[in-house]
Amino acid sequence: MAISKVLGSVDAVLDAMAGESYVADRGLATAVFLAAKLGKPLLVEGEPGCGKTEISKVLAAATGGELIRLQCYEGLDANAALYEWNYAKQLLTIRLHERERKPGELETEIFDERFLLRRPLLKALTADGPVPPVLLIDEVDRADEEFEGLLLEVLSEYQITIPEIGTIKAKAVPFVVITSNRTRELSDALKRRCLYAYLDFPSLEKEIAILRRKVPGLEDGFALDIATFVQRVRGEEDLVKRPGIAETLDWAAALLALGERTITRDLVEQTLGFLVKDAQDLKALPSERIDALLRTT
Amino acid sequence: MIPDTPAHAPAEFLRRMAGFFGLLRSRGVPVGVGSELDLARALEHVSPLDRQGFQDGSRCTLAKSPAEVAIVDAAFDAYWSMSPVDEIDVEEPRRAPTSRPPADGRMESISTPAMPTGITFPIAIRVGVYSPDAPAGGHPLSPVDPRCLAAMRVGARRLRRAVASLPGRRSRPARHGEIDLRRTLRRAGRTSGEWIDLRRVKKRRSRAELLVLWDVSGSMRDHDAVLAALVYSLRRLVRRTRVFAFSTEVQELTPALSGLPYRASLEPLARAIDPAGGGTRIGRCLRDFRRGFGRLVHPWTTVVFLSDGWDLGDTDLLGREVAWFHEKAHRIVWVNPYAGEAGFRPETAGMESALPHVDLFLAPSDFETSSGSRLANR
Repeated sequence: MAISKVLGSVDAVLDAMAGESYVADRGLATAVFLAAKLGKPLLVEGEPGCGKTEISKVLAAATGGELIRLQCYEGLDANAALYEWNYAKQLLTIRLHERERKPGELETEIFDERFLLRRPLLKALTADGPVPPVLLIDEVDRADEEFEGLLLEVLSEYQITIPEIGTIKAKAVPFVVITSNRTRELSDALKRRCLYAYLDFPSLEKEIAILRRKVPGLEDGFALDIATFVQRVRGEEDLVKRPGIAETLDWAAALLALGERTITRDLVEQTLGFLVKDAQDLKALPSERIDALLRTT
Repeated sequence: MIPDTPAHAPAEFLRRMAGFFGLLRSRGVPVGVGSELDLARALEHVSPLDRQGFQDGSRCTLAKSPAEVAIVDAAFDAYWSMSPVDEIDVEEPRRAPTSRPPADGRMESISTPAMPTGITFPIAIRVGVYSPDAPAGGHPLSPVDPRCLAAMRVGARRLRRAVASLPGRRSRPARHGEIDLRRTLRRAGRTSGEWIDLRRVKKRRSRAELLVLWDVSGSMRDHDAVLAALVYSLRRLVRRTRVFAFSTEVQELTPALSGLPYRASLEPLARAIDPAGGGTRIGRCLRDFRRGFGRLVHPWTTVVFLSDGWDLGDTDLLGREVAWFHEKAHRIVWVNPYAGEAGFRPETAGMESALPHVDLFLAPSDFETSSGSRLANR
């Protein structure tokens, strides 16, 4: 489908995301629509497991664009994010031609695009498919502050400067989604260049709708029970890591695979690891407390 | 009221937009010209007559954090209502803290207005228990001597080295890691230019991530100036530093410490420290912090407590909470303002509960002295 049609209006974005089984509210759809129209990156923050990464996957699937993912981590640098020279290939070329060529000629030859290893950011700018790609810069808060500086030129000018070659400009502006779990504050410079969306835990109704779309075969009553129980667990104040939508979906799929149709205390105890991922939280939910949560379900 | 025909009344609409940006700035959202232009461009695609679209567009262009999302939504509801613009208070007046206990024994939040929004991210977690020891108002901070501040910076740098958990820019030779082309090439000189011996390097661990939890209760008042200088130095020297204050509630001070010289930062810092009440409940505050901001504690985070350990609450809870931090964090550093005094022994109940889980117990003077201090020896 043409990208202008998919991201042509807020309603079209809502429909496109719904078509890919993503339950989005109008606020998020408006942010996606405006990010596409203004050509600005979309910074999505929120609780882990609430569908931040999924947004880019859904948009890539809906627009037919290639999804290019850059997973951020501590120590991520330009070589892993932008480009790197293929040193082995350069060395082999030097060895092959060292007798017949002059050194100056070889130097020009080996610093050519043929010897360039394109990393995600450069790949996104030089993609030449019919549809602009979707660039996902995932968990940017895990990377160093210096890396944010590196992103600034790419995200504001959509260009990369390689000293040996020159400046490479984007053939088509990619749709950029940046996600962060807020483990640290991002720089103001980066935030200024982005539109912003925050994904909170879903309401009960939204969670039921997500369960129905994402877990086929789940009966309505069972989906309601699962969503209600998860909401109750999420409401427990002393949990370190509250379950996100991803955990709810995993748990629902596990219950379905076990052939269960009702939630019991034993079943919750056996499968609680799908929902609660912290050892201290598991200890904080003994049988009596699970009973109490089930009674209120 | 949203204008019926903005295209025909651009001057009036622009005036109201400027007023909206002013209201947001007065409520702490730093709306820059870039964001203003973003919203203006967004309104070419989303009609201002579509109230929901206008609000969604304002939110995604002007807000840059969950707290700002809540403020933008609340300000939008208040500003673009049926009321004339002159009736909106641009400067939100701050009420003085209560001096008498309310009927239910709990004190109302004095700085965060109720915001009708779906976002529940805590702007500040407020325990808000009434205390007769509550200060009358404000939390003035006096500057320290420039030499003391300079010494503090040296101490902060020393702490950064002592608790560094993150790789820096410099590297060291290692068995495993990235290939060091420069050293490998030099070594290749011994083997007729053949790359036989690959030299490798790893990044030195020279950077730290700090989480400073500062006790601003009445018993710490005498040490405010020194501790404010220490907090400022830590924030300046260790880029990844988040600062929170606590007494009977927890509030983040990091924004107040950003981008200002020392003396200029004292005033916003003093304003940010909300005198909600005295009578420290450290354990309870740490529990609230864990619930609201527990995700900030990682295996590479060093948690720095600035407290005398005087706790009027449950000291067992304090012990359990510090144990949680100890389990999750890289190091626990406790700075007690009395620790440098002759004959000092950490015998308060709170201190006794916390000490088994503390890796480094310091006095503020350890940051100032260049040698012989516990930090230097470390």
